[in-house]
Amino acid sequence: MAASESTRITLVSNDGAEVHVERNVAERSMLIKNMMEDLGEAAMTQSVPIPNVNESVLKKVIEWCEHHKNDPPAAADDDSDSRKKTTDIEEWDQKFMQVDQEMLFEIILASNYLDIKPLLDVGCKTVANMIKGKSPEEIRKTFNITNDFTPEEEEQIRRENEWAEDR
Amino acid sequence: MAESSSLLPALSTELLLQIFSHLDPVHSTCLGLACRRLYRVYSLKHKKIPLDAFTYDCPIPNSNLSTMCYLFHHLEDWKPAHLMHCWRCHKFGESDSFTQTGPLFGKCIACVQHEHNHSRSSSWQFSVHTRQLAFQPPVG
Repeated sequence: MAASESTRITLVSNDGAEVHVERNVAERSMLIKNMMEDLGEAAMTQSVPIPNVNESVLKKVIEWCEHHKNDPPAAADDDSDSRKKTTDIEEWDQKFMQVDQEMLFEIILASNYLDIKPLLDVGCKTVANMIKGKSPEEIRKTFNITNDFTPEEEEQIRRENEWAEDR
Repeated sequence: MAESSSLLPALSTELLLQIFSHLDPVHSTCLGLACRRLYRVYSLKHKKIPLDAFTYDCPIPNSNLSTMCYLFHHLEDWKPAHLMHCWRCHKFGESDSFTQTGPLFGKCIACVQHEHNHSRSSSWQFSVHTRQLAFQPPVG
C-alpha cells in the first residue's frame, strides 16, 4: 500500500496524552518499529502506549524524528571510527539540544528507551561537550554534583593512578 | 540515589559509558574525579592515566577553537593544598619536598637531586641544557 508513508498512528504518553504522528516518523524508534511489526494491522486502529515517556518529552523526541525522517540508515559499523573521534553535532541538532538539563537528560533516557540511536548519540555528545575543558570542580558545578570523596579516597586515587611521587 | 540531586551520576552505567566514549582520556579523568559513582564507571574503562597525558581537544571558551592541554592543568583545584605538582616528573608531592622555582610551579627534591647528579657526571653543556629546560614554564 503506497499510502503507508502518510499513515498516522497514535502514541500515548505516560501522562495520558495522545500524540498523533506519521508512522514512518515514529519508526525512527526501533522500539516502535518492532511493536508495529508485531501488532500488524491492529497498530493502525489502536493507540500505542509509551509508558516511560511523558508528553513534553515525547513531543520533543517526535520533533527530532520529524526532522530526521529522511536520514539514511546509519552504517552498521559507524561505531568504530566516526563516533569516538568527533563530538561535532550538526547545527539543527545543536539548536534542538539547547534545553534545560532536566529536558536534556529526559531526552537521553527516552531515546535510550525508545531505541533511537542517533538521537541518543546527539544527547551523549551534548553532555560530553559540556564536560570538555572543565576541571572536576567545574564539572560538579555544571551538573550540581556533590563531591562525596573522603580525603582518604582521594589519597587512594592518587596512589592507584601513580600521581603521587614515590618516596 | 542518595549521593546527589544531580541527574548525571543517576544515569545507568551503560549510558555513562556512552558519554565517556565521547571523551578523551584527559576529559574522562576530569569527569571521573567529580564523584564516587562517576569514578567507579570511569575505572571500568581507564587505568592509570598519567598527569602529563594531554589532548588537543580542549575548547577555548567563547570560540569554536580547541587548544592543547595537559591533565594536570585541570587538576589544580582537585589536589589538596598541601600537595604541589612537579612539572618535571609530573607527579604530586608534599610541598615540603619541593623547591619553589616560581609562584605557580615547583620541582620536587627527587628531580632536583636527579638533575644535580647528572650535571656532576656529564659535560658542562649538558647541565646548561637541563638548566634551560628547567626554566621553561609548562606549555599551555
